Amino acid sequence: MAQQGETMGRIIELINVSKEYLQAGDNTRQALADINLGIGAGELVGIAGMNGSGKTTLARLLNALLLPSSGKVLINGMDTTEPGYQQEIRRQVGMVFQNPDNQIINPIVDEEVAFGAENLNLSPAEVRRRVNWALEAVGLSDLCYHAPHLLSGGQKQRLAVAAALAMRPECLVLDEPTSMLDQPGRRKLLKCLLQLNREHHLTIIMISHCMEELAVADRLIVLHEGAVHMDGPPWVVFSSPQFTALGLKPPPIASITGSLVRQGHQIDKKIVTLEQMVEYLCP
Amino acid sequence: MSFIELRQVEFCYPRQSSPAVTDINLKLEKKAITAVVGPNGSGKTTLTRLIIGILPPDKGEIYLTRSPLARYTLAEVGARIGYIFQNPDLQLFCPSVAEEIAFGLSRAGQGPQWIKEKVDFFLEYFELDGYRNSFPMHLSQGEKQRLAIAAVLAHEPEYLILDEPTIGLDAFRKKQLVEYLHKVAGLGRGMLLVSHDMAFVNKLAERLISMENGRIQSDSERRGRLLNEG
Amino acid sequence: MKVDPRSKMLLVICISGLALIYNNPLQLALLLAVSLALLGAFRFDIGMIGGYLRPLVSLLLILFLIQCLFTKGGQVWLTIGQLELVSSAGLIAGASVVLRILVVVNSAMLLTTCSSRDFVLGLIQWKVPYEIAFMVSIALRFLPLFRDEMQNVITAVQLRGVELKKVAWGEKISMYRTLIFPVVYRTMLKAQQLSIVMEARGFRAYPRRTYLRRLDLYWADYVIMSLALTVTVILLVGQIL
Repeated sequence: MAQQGETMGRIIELINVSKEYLQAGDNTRQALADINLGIGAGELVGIAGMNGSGKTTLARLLNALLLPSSGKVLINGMDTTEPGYQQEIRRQVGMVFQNPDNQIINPIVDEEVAFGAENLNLSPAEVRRRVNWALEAVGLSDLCYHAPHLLSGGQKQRLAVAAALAMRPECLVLDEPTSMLDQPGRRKLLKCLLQLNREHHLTIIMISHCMEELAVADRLIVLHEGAVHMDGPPWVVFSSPQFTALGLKPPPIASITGSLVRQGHQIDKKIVTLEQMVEYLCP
Repeated sequence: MSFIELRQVEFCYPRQSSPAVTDINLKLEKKAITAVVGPNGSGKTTLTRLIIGILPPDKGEIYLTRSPLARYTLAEVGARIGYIFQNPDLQLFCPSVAEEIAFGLSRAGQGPQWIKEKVDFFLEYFELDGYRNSFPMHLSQGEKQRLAIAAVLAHEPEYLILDEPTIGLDAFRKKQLVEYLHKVAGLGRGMLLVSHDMAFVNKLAERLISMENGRIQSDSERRGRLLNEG
Repeated sequence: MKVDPRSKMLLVICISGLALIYNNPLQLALLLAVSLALLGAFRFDIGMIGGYLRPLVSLLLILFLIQCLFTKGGQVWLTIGQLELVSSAGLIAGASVVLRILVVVNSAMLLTTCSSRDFVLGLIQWKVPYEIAFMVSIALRFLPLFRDEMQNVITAVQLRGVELKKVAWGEKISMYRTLIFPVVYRTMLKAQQLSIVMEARGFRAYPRRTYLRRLDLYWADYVIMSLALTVTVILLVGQIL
């Protein structure tokens, strides 16, 4: 499939990347096989795939938490396997994980956000500035002095985003950030991420099982058994029969649009979210 | 009389200003599939913990087949009601999958052959055959969940409570879970499902209870089950 | 009144130090009273002390008995036939050991009255390397997690229909031995996830790091610290002479 992001500056490149894991009894499990991928600055990318398709492995390769068994992962031209670059790569690619509780390091919200910036040895004034900016960007400014473990799941995840933002990353990778959240928590987190992408031009890569969330992405990549099977705008991916063949279900709105298009109705085939549908029906 | 009954139950976690659940009046029947839905913080999990007896109510009474719950030990309740935690990790503690299912079965005094047959049955029923000797923590989320359900069912409880069983599962595995739970219901057991996933709940529940802010907001029956969608 | 964790640390060191030197149950009892008073002053929930001490009760009893039976001297209180079992010196020694442990444990609880971050900051500003101070605070954070996991496993075992109270001692011990494994495993898993997050946020990326906050010593701290030091020195000198 066409690799997008070629006209924009590519900040992430995977070249022939494979990753194997050793298992008991000298078996190896192939988590990723020969992946070639490029992600441009400012893109909002969704990654979907069944459990075990390699999504988490891919995410961890992006900030040198894991190194490829073969091939290269380049972040702004820096090779993740070079030890000298790892610190800078980790600063440039922020990560948010699935479990909100296992990401809290400090007992106060602002200290939690400051942790990353402090590790960069910036001046205290600069650290404070970044903390304020990050908390503002995720909408948690008034919880500045609260204890993180008393926040709701959604707030904790936004806190994790703020903590990553304090390092001024170029890209944010989120591994199933909403799977442990309820509806309101999810919505707020997604709104926050969308804002960060549209207003602050932060590149965002999000792994999710929830197709409604991925429908707002610029680009949707579908992994299956360690390989990239689909890569394109969500409306193209959802409407392709290959999508369901891979064991995934498109969001309801996309299904409706697809049915209407197939029945010959005049409807914009790019509609995949509820907002888009509402806007189309009642402009 | 109902299998489980709650009267005017209220519970407040220590150091919290407002109660997690208040004014709960509920009757649950043994053979029915009931769902409790509501946003995070609405008190759903607290409700299940009260029913199973992990938490004692601050006010009100809870009855299990006519007797007050307080008279039962946790083990006695566990023998009658199987509880599947939101995080299956919390209830898996044996070195292998087969041992996990077999745990506690020796108490029935039926001999090793009987235990072996049971373990074999459940391994096959829940498609965990290939993992017989694996370490439970190495299984995927969906597999751990099936294991937890199998391990609990091996004790043949009369009723099941499942707390948010769909977390971390993709669409395919959620569908699988619905099928497994239908199978379990086919074995003649009722259950209480707690979930914030309405699509999942709609495929299984005959009765829907919604909670918000610690109170029951609505409680409705559904005539027959919805037809399964693809 | 906000007291710097360093003042509290100094208090703990002073009180524990005195406890190790004193041999007299009366002095130790006074020290215990002082430590309890301090706990109250720093708004430690006195009710929690029972929770901390309960697991120690059997240990303390054993130690008391050992000291009591094996220290001879003074007036004899209990004999069996020709054997002198309990003497006044024994009782005093036993009481001293128990009280000493109680004083040390209680004063250590003073440290729990400051937040883990303050504790780390205090250590750092006393020139303890960051990694060590951080390790201490993470360990403090993980202890309750460990306890929670243990509780979870016990609940899970009971929910499988196993009545723990009715299990024979021998079987119970072997059961606990097998159960400790998932507890440790899961706590380790949490620790591993946390360490991944820390790495992702640049932990130890550079040789030096800044700190958002500084702990400053106020007059209350200077008063407490100088009082503690002076009193301790006086008492020490008094004891030696």
